[in-house]
Amino acid sequence: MTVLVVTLLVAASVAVLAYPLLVRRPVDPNEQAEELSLGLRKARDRVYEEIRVLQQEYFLETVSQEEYTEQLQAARLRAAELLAQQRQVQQTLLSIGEDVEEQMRLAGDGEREP
Amino acid sequence: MADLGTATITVALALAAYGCVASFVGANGRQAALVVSGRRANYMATLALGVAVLALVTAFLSNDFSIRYVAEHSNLAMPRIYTWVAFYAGNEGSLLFVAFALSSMASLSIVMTPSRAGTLRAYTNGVLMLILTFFVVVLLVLANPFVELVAAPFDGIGINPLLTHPGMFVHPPMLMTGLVAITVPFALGMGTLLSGRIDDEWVDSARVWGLVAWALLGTGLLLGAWWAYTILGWGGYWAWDPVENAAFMPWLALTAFIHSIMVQKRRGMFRMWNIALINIAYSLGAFGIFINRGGPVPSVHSFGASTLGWVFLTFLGVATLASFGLFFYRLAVLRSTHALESTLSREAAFLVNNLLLLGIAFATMWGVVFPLISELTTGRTITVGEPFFNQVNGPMMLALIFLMGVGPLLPWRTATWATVRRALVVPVAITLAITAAVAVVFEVRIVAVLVGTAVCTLVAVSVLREWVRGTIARHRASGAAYPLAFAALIASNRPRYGGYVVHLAIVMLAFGIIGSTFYGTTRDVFMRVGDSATVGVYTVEFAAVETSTFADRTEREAVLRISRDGEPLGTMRAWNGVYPSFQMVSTRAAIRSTPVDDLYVIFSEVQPDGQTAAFRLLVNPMVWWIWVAGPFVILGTVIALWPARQRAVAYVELPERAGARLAEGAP
Repeated sequence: MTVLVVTLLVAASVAVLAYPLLVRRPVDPNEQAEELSLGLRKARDRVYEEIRVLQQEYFLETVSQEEYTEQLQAARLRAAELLAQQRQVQQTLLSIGEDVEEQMRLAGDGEREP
Repeated sequence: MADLGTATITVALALAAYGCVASFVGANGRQAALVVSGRRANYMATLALGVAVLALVTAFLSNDFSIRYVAEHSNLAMPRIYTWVAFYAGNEGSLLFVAFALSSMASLSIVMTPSRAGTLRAYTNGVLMLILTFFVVVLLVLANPFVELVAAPFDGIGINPLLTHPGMFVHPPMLMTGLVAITVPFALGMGTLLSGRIDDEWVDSARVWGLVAWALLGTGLLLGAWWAYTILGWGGYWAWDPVENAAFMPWLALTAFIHSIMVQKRRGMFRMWNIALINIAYSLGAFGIFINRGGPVPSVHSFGASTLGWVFLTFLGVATLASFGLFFYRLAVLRSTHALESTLSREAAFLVNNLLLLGIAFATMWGVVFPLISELTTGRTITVGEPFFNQVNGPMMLALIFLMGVGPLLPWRTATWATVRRALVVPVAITLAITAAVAVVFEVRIVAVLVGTAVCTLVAVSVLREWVRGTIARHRASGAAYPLAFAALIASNRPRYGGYVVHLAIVMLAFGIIGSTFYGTTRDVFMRVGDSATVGVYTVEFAAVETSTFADRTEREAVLRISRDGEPLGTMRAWNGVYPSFQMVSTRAAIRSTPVDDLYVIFSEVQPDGQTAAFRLLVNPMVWWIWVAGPFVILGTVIALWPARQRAVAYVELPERAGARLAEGAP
């Protein structure tokens, strides 16, 4: 039984480990785009969280009206900046994608021309 | 089973080593396929170690005494239920358990780390596999639980009697798992440094795994205290024993980490500090494994001692040097996005909390290593006793609890003295009133007790006040019933309110410690059957002694009738067992536990006439609260870990509209 179990384990390990080396997964261009906007999204989420906590503390009267207004204003400005940056990144990526498609289309047309 | 066990550990070693190399090479060379392959080696190593665990359990269940470890830690008389305890009763089995626990958590953490983490995930996997490789090498070369005897004995030696206790089913595995669980946030920190992605990507995963390790260690420590209280027969629950301290120190560092990582999560601050903290926590965890499995100092846990000390000491040294070396190498880029704006803020409170926790950890460390230092320098082992730990750590712990009460009342970023005054005036007034009432009603005259009562009350009042105010405000705003409004309040900020539940548990724990430390009563008596003795308000009558003989032990039970002010309270049974093969007498105290006090009776010695016995009678006030704290720690951790729903915040809208409103100067 020992030989059988160990053989199965070794065979399964070799197969599982070798599979990704032998079968290459095509690169997904969306992954790159997602990674680019990820940092901005996380930073934005953190500002949202900061605002939520600030509201809660205001609710519980831990911060004064002036402190609340001042900190909320600053946080909203940062959130707006991050949202704008994120949108810019997405639009740039989109336009790059469109440019690439256009180039490929033109190249295809050129090849078909006599 | 021996062959299967050794073969699967060998396969696990090959997989862990491959996983380490593939992850580092793949991450460094941006070879995605190799990284995936390395990650899969992690999962397969867990499977291989799982088979080894099953092989050892099977060997125990089938009484396979041809395996030395099975022969040394079980016998035919051992109830089947203790198989699990026998599994980790010695070094070899516990190391197999540690390797399997580490491997399982490594797999789980890598599965849970989002794929977007990229090279961070690959380097983290590499670090995890490197550490796993170390443990599996030790397991295979120096502490293989599957080594066979030349001739199998008919029966084994048996399990250590001290381990035949319900607490042993969970206390050792929790502590061991907690100690190795620190590896995950540590590996995430190292992965961050190695990948060069000095951002906050690792924060969420590290917070979750830091909390998991913290909860496992904390629960393991409490269960260990319960085991000591009920079985070691001295009436206490914490003795600053080196092995207890070895788990307590990383727990303190982790407590600091799970607080300060929140500051990084919320404010992008303390980046350097958090990496340094997790390095310290990991080094203390490795030190814990060295003390726990290496056995360099005398301890009540000596049954786990071994000659592997030098191996773990080397590992501790290498891990500490490598982690801090990498930390200093990346120091220049480990800059926080925000600086500390005010010393009067929640961030500053967290920082002071961290320093106090580390202060306690290092004072404890000094107490643990002092016997080693004295032996090296003077040739004599001088142990540091309980008074040292109590005098040094006691005030720092009180300051820490005080901060638990004040810190959450401070806002993030900055506060004015007016804000602080407004936040503190009511809790402090209520605290002073309650403390004064306690002093008068219970005639408390000990300053330390009054200070302790005051700081604990301040924490409880702060938490309860915030809950009450928050619930009322939510009830008014939404019209929801009070229980629903309270549930909504908790759900609105789970990390914060889960933390508050834990803070309340710490208050319960502190009250239990204060009560039992300052107001305990002890009396040693000899009683013949029919005699009575008084301790505190209780009268204990020795009604009978019952003897039972088993193959491996002789058990005696003292039947005790208890009364209070002449009113019968029932019968208690104190137990002891004599184990000739271990030359040991094991006891189980009879305990009558109430929220006010514990009546605790130890049945320690029976005279040759069989009718006279020595008893230790104790009244331990408020110990009940220490054990009640445990479930609250777990509950608070679960609340803090519960994933929050993703939702947008109403105040921040689409960029154009938000920008327009800001431009118009809208609030």
